[in-house]
Amino acid sequence: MEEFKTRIADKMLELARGWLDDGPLRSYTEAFIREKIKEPMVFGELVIYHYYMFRGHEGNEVETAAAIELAILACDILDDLEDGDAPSKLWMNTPPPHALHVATSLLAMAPLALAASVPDELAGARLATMMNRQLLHSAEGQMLDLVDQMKDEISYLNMVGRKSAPFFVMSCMAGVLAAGSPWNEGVAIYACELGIASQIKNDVRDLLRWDEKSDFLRRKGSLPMLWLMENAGEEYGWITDYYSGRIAVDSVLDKKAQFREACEKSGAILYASVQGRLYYNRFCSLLEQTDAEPVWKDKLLQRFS
Amino acid sequence: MFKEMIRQLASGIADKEAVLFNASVQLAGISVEEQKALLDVLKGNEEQTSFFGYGWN
Repeated sequence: MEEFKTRIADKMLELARGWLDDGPLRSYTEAFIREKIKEPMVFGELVIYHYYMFRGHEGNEVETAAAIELAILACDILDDLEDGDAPSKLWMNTPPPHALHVATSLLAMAPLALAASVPDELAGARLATMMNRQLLHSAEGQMLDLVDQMKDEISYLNMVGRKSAPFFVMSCMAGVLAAGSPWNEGVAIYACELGIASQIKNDVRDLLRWDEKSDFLRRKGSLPMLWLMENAGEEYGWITDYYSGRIAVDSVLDKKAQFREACEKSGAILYASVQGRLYYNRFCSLLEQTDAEPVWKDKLLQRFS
Repeated sequence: MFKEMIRQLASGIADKEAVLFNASVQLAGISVEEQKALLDVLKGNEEQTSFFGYGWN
């Protein structure tokens, strides 16, 4: 898959050069793509796996994957601008109006590039519509996250299902449609399960870190945070006090070890990990039942195991 | 029942080894799906294969 990653990265740059005239928008876009391709390309990979799982043979899967990654890049930029929690990213060190403008331009470019990645015009239109629909679903979930009204586990998982899962549905389904197959509901369902599992895994990671992305220090809601609030006990009352805004960040900054201890003793890490595993196991089981090329199904499982 | 088991395991009241080796008795009252997920995570952590039991990036 490493070979595909390089090809997807090159294709993203090629698409930017193809769809944008030479000028500042293209320069910024190329620079942001170069920043993005330093990271894993999970969504582009999902396109490739599904393209071959559904017996695609037209040979333009890398362009389809690159178009998906352009949309993901746009959403990454917007998410970082909205959350303000990724100071090292290139787009966070660019004047905010410029970064915002690149992100919105990428959102316009990605469906066009996706539609153009297949030879048939109708199939292209279906792909673009599918992408826009999933991006819109995700935008609804992102808004729920921004207003942060997740008071309990059910509302939190509802938000995750809307915000994160659509990216997985969009990527898996792009591979399916680009291969010439129709919308596959089974794939949509297991993609949601994988998306939620992935978000919960990120939640556990962001619970335990102690920097600008720490969910606790940012007083951000997540599945393990909700558990922690309910189960930390009186010994760790300062956690609830900080999270509720009753004490300032200076009072907790030196309590990293105690916080970690509270996460373990309360069961927050174990609970969230098991919940994530529940979604992951459902993904595996549904994938197993899917009628697709067994060799590529195995490759997908190996990648996400 | 499932949440209580998590609390007991985290606080040390329930023994992780016992859960791993005697799952059917220890996990009575917990759904099959939850049992499997719990055992997968405990086993994953035990073997240090992946920190969260479903580790990937």
